[in-house]
Parts: sequence; structure tokens; C-alpha cells
Amino acid sequence: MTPSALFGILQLDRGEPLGFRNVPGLVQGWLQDAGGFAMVGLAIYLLYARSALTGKSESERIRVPVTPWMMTCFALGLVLFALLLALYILNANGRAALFGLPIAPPPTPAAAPGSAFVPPPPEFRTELAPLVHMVAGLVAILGLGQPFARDMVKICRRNLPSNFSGVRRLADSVSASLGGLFTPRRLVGLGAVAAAYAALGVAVYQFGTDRLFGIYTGVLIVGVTVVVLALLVLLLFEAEGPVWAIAKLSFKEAMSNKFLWIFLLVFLPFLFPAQWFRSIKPADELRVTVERTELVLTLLMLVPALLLASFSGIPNDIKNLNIYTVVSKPVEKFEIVLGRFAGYVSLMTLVLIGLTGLSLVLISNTSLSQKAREETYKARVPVYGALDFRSMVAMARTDKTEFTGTNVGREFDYRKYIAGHPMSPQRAIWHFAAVPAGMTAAADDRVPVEFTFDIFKMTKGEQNRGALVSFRFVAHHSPQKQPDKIGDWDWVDADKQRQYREWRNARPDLAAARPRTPGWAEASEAAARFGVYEVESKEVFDYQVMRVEVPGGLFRSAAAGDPGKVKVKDPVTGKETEEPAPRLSVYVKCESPGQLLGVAQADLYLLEYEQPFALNYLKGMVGLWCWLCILIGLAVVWGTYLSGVLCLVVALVLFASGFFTDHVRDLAQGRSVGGGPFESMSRVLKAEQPTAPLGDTAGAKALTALDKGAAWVFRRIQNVIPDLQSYDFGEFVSNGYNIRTEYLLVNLLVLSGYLLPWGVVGYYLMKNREVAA
Amino acid sequence: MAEPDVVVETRSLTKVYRDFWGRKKKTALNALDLKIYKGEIFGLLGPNGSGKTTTIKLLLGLLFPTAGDGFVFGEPAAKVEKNERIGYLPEESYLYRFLNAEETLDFYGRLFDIDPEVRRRRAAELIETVGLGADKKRILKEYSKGMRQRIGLAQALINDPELVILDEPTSGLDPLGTRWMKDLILDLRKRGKTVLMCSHRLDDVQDVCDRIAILYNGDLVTLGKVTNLVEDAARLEIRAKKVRESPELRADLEAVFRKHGGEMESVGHPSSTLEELFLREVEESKKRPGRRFLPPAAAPEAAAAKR
Repeated sequence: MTPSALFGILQLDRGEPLGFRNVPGLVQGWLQDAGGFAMVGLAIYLLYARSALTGKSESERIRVPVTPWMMTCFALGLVLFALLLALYILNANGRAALFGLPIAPPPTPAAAPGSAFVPPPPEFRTELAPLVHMVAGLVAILGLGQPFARDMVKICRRNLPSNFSGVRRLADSVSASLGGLFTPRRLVGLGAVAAAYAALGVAVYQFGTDRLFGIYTGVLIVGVTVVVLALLVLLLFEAEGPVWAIAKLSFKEAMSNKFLWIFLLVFLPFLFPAQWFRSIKPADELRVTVERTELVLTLLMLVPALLLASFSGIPNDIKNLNIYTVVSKPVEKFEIVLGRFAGYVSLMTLVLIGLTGLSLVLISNTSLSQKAREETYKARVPVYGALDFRSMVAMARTDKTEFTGTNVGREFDYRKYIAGHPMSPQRAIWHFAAVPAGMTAAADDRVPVEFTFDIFKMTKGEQNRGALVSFRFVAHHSPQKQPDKIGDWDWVDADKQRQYREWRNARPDLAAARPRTPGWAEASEAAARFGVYEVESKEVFDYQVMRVEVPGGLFRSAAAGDPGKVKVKDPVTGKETEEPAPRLSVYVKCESPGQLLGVAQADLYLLEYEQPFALNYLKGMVGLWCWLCILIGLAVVWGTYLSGVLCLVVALVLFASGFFTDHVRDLAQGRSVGGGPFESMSRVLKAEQPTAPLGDTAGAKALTALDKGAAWVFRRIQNVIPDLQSYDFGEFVSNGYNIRTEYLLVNLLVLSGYLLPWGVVGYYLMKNREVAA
Repeated sequence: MAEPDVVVETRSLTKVYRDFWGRKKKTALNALDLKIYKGEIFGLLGPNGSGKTTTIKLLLGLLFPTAGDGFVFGEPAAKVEKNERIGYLPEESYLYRFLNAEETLDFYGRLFDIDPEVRRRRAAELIETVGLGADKKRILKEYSKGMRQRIGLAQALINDPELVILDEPTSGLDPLGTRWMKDLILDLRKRGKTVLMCSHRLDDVQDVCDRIAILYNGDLVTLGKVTNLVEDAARLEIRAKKVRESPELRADLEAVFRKHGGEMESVGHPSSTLEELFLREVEESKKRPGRRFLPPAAAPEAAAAKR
């Protein structure tokens, strides 16, 4: 059983989810990528405009406008992209700087052998080439985006009430629509349903179990929520403007589609908790249930969404010629695209809310084991530190290098190990640069620290016994000294260490005090005074989420004073920079001889607080909602040009490719084992091992050159396909870790950044499509 | 535009259909020059594939011209805003079949910039005008072709357009519906609207149109007032009441025509059109419910003789 451990590994594998700190880098990357495509698009557009009758026909001038602004942007973009090319050529020729400024960022270091490659997080680059690339992209986007922006302003004016008159008209429409919705007949029906459900509630309350009544109440809440939200959506669609009218039409069209409801009914039973169908190890009940529910929900959402948007939307309008009656009205063609997108997304969002609520009701009211509740029925808010390994000083070691953790040769295991022995000087150390304010005044004056370790046994040892592990929590003003011989770590301040030892020997009861016991306050006061708290010989089991409680006094001590600065060397550039020293460090030592303790950065964290599981579950569904938007967006955009089946195929291929971004990235960066597609093909034909050397022949060089070309193509493909994994927070939910709102907000930004260029593609495709051809 | 009364104008409007590779497939319209004036009913005539519907689609912006240009109310055809003043009834009623009549008119009405109150009132009036008051809650899927054509016309009029474009307006209508449609078109003219219609039902066009253009294979072959175009100046028609046809009358008339240098072609009773007969019979049946066709008196005898 390794799910908890897997969470740590996945964190390492993908790196930290995107946060606010990545936004500048994301924006720069977006301008570069979208700008490159915009430049190509602008060139194609201008060529197309030359073939149209823009010089002779006023209609064509309106349809394919070519403005001086666009021409200027195109010319400027050409110059800037040429400059970028020149910079890359200079860089390739070995010239790293120009006018004292570095040309390109340093190359990303390769992953250590046996380790996964973690792509570096987006970061704003200030070297010449990325800056020129960014500006060139921006210029191209401004050029290509001009007609789009102009029409969007017009569309916004028409569809968003910007003055009192617009608001009054919306209010008129809403009140008329409400009157139409609540007809006496419908009110009677609604009353009958409510009465029947109330009667059922009485029966369940009288004769059912608490759990059943919980489900009954939950379903009622979900049902009412969905109905209210549906009403709100419909009222929103009453706003004046073609986009809302088309959105409402799409909503109704989808509602009248029997396929959607049959599909939902068939798959609905699979939303029931997994343990209702089969027995699962207690600790994994929630994990398995959440993972399976998410899978079922994904299918339930994405399949109908794709079919609806591909077949019922614009392709169907064009096929059935309904579009004649719409385009012949004063409607911008892109308003149809926006309306379709809004309609389908609204409906599927309501379905998602309903099914998410229903699954949550079922999960919450199922008989979860205590073990599952402790491990995963929560949303931990962890504070992660930076992991470091240390042992004796380098000069005292045989190889004269610093200890960096031991690799035990486990494939796909990113943990590093420290050897266990009572006298072992090897330590895994987590440094925390900051201490959240809440921890200095924590409830019961205790801060939980959770961990999940791997134990690699060199000897069999005792059955069903864990390894003994010691923890030393150290505030910044009680620094520890790296030993120069085998044995324990001493403090830099020997007097303070002596006083601490004396206190500890005098009050062994306080050293072992537990929270909410009389000695805890005194232990906390001592931790604040000495800046150290120790937990000795805790029995730790393989891959289990465990915790120790640390007195709040230590955190008050860590939060006080200035820890100063430390010099940090950049592993890529070798440059030394000064960074704030850690306020708190956790030294972990394995005491059991013959055992190795495996740790990774995310394996130990300070638990700031816990949030309800339900809220986290709902937040986790934002990822699925983003997927939904991407899929519907792709289908709607391609539906502007392709027929239903082709639209479905293209949208599906683009979307599904998003699940293989790691593979595409490896191909794009020439990191795949066995080489690129051409080299691999050659190896297959020659029955060669993927790791065999390619040789130094002309053929091999040609293959390598072809693969470089293919890598360029894959880099472009990489920019076009959505990185679906970055939206997936399922692991957070199923393992009980809080999804930070920051992650969600940045994900929504990334979603907008992905959909916007597709929107522009849809705009041009639709605008230049002869719907009656 | 120089002439204020010109509602529709085409200048060398040409449309060539091409395949995916840009190869020419067909010239659907060839350098059409046309002007339609305010308040007239203009008919586009021609056999299938002559370019009538293509002209309409080009004017509405559903197709893009290969050469030339089209203008409506002085605005280029590609300008979306001009559609505020146009009502369009396509050849088939391409409406959303999951909507009912009220929802259909509400949807199309919302595509225009019309006050919600006005829109609702107008939709209710139009539903009554097209005779679908009793069926306004039924979804269009359940409608007959004629009913769909009626609701199609209602959606074309929801914005109270100044120019109404009707593509085969009587297609799928029974004679009663056809008469109703023709009356409505004439009523539109009375209200100052301009109507552009295309049809290959020549009798309909002749009944309602002021001017017509005949297209053939994409070329404009005739353009002018209907009365002028159909007038046969080489012949003279004389009608008289209370005179019975007889050899004497025929001889007298022949003498008169010879005296004036002419030649008599025929003398006989004029016949009404089948449409007039049909409408008369239906009207009669409405007045006298239960009225049935009875065979002539000789019929039973003939049947007996057969036995």
C-alpha cells in the first residue's frame, strides 16, 4: 500500500502546482507561445486578404479588414522575430552575452540518473532572447487581435448592460420570464413533488437509519441548489443580446437531448462509494472511492459534453441550415460561438454541481472506517520546508564530499535514505523559511507535524515493528553544529546546550508531556526558552501518515528575532545569492540499526490547520470543470469549420493528447529513451536496443537532424495541446490535502490563456466561413 | 447611395462556387446589376440553379461575392447592422424544432435590438396573424410544413422589417395558404414595405409582383414591370356580357376584324383559374357545413346499365 507515499512522489514528479509566484513567468511564456502562432496567423491572414476583393468590394473590406495597424504590427513583428533568430544564432556560436546582457537562459539541467525530470516552474526571464521573443509575440498578438478586439468591444456593448436602460431591460425580461416559469400548473406540480418528497422524508426519519436520513437531506439540499442555480442561469440568459439568446437556445437544445439523460442514468449508480461494491483496506476506503468517483464523473461529464458540442452545436446548425435564420439577423458570427459555448458550459456545470453534490452526499453518509477518516477525510493545510541531507562535515568523510542522501537503487523511487543507528550522524533536515503566524498561537498550544516515511530494511528485524526515529525541532537562534566524527549533533552554543540537557535530565516528565496535560504548558515554555524541542525514538511504520505534536512555544521562539541571511548557490548558474536563513529546522535521525529511512521533500510538513473534506472535494471538481471548458471550447471552435464527426475527432485528439503531455514534452526536448521518432524507427527496423549507441555514421547524423526537426514540431504541438494534468487535483482530495485557492485561481488564469487563442481561431474561422456554401 | 429610394442594389454581383482546391465548379451568378426600389414587390424568377437563392444569400451575407458587391439600404452586404431592417424567410423553414411558436419568436426577436415589451407584444400579434394562436405551445417538430412556413414568416416579420426577403414563400402551402401568403405580401406593400421574393411558381409572382427579373444560368435575362412584360401587344381581347356564342355572331365579328385589318383567333367563354374555383368551393363549404358533391342525375342510370 503506497498511496500516501505516492502523494509525496507525485508532488516531486510534477513540482509544486502553479501559484501566484509563477504568474509573471506564465504571462511571459504565453506571450511567447501565443505570439509565435499569432505571427504565423497574421501572415496567413494578410495573404488571404490579398486573395479577397478588399480593393474592389466594400463588403470584402468589412469581412477581411487590413488596417495600417495590422500592417505595422506585422512589419515590426518580422523585425523582432528576425532579431530573435539572430540572437539564437549568436548564442549557438558561443556568444553568451551582448552588451553585457546574457542572451539566453542557462540550459535546464538534466535529471539525476534514476530520477524523473521535473520541468522547471514558469519564471519571468530577463535575458535578451526571452525578452525579445515576448515583445515580438505581443506585437503579433496586437496585430492579429485587432479585428477580434474591435468586434469583441461591439459584442460586449450589445450583450452587457452598461447603462440604466440596459439594466431596466434585463429586469423587464427577468420579471416576464419568471412569470412565464411559474405558471399555476407548474406550481401545482412543484408542490406535489415537494409534498411527496416530504412524505418520503417522514418515512425515512421514522423507519430509516441516520445515514439514510443524511442521504435524504443531502439529496434535498443538492436538488434545491441545482434547481435554484438552474433558475439563476436561465434568468441570466434572459439578458438582452444575441449571445444570451443563443446560450439559452443551446441550453434548451441540450436539455431536449435524450442522449445526455440516458447516459447520466446509466452511469449514475457508479457514483456510489466503492466499498458498497467490494471490500477495501480500511485506510484506503476514501482514497479509492474518491478516485473512482472522479473517474466516473469525468466520463459522465466529458462524453456528453463532447457529443453535445460536436454534434448539436454549430455543425448541426450548418447541416440543418438553421444558421440561415440566425446569420441573417444582426448577429456577429462570433456571438454564435460565444453563445454556444456559454450554453453548453452552463448546462454541464449544473450537471457537474448536481453530480458532485450527490457523490459527496453518498461519500459523507457512508460507513467510513476510522482509519480512513483519520488519514484522508480532511483537507490538511501543510507548510512544506526545503529538504537537505547532512552528515559529518565533508572533510571528515572518506570521499571528502557533503552527504546528499543515499540512493538505495529503487527504480521510480525519488526518496533518498539516511542510515539508521543510535550513533549515526546522518540527518534529513527540513528547513522552514517562515513560520505561519497561526502556529505561534495554535489551539491547545500545539502544532502537529505530519510525516510519511519509507523504511528500507537491510536486515529483517522484528516483525510488525517499525523503525525508531528521532526528531529535533530547532529554532533559528539555537543553531546546530555539523559533527566531525560519528555521533550526535551538538549545538553551536555549548552553554545553551548544557542548560537544555540539565533541564531535560531534571524534568524527564516534561520532555514526554502530551498536549492537554498539565506539563504541556511548561514544556512549551521550555521550548520557547531553549529554541529546541525533541521527540525521541518514535516508532515509525512504513508508508503511514503519522504525526508528532510540537509545543507552540517553539514556534513563538522561531518567529521572534532575525534569523539573518545564508548564502545559496544556484545549481545551474553556480551564482551565489543571499536568502533569509530558515526560522525553523527539523532534524530527523533514524536510530534503528540496519534500517534506512527514505524521505522526500513532501514527506514531512507542519500542519497549519485542517479544512473540511467536503470543501476540498468541491474545490477538486474545479479541475474537472476546467477540463469541461477546454473540451467544449475545442469542440465549439472546431465546429465553426468542421462537420460534426470531424469536429469530434479533432477536439477529442487535441484533448486526449493533453493526458500525454509528459511524453510529448520528452519528445519535444529530445529526452525520450531511444531517441526521437526517426531514430526510434531506425532502431525498430534494425532490432536495436533503445539504449544502444547510435554510432557516428552519416545515416545516424541524418536521423539525429531529422529528430531535431521533429522535436521542433513537437514543441509546437506541445503549445497547442492542453496540459490536463496541471488541472487535476484528484490526488490532493483523495489523500486529504487542501487545494489552495491560489492554485485554483492560477489554473483559471491558465485556462483563460489556453482558451483565448482558440477563441481567436474560432473568430476567424467563423467570420470567413460561408455558412450557405 | 445616390438614389434614396433604392433599397437593394447589386453591382456586377458575381458568385463562382469552387471546390476545396479552389477549382471552379459553377458560376452561380454572373455580374448581376439590379436595383429594387422602396415599396415595391420585386420577384426573382428562374429555373432551378439560375442564381435566385444565391442572390439572396449574397445580399444577406450568407455567401461572399467572388466579384462585385451587393448593397442593402446603402450598406454593404457584409455589414451585419443592415440586417436590423431585414426580414428573411428561407426556402425551407429552417427553425429549431424543439422550440414552440412562442419560444421561436422570442428567440429570433432577441437577436434584434428590440425592447422586450415590444418584442413580446409583436410576437403575440404575429402568432395570431399567421393563425397559430391555438398551436403556439406545440413544439415545431409537431407542425405541418404549412404551419412551419407560417411561423417562419412570423419570425421574418418579428423586427417589423422595411425589407422582407422571401425565398419561395408559397412552397409547401396549400391553395388557401398560398392565397393567404399572397394577401399578406400585398398587405406588406400597402404598409410601405419592400418585398424581394423569388419563386418558380409563376402565377404567384404574376399575382403579386410589381417588377420581376428573370435569371437563367446565373445571367439576368429580363428585367421590368410585370404588366409590361406579360402584355401581348400583337393581340386584342374583347369581353362581352349577355351575348351567346353562335355562328352568326362569329361571322359578324370576323367581318368587323377584317374591316380593321385584323384576324379573329377564337370566340368562347372565358374560364376562371383552378385556384379561384378551389377558393370558391372552400368558402362555400365553410358557409354551408355538410355540403357534399352529388353525382349528376344520369349517373345512377349509367351504373344500372353497367350492371
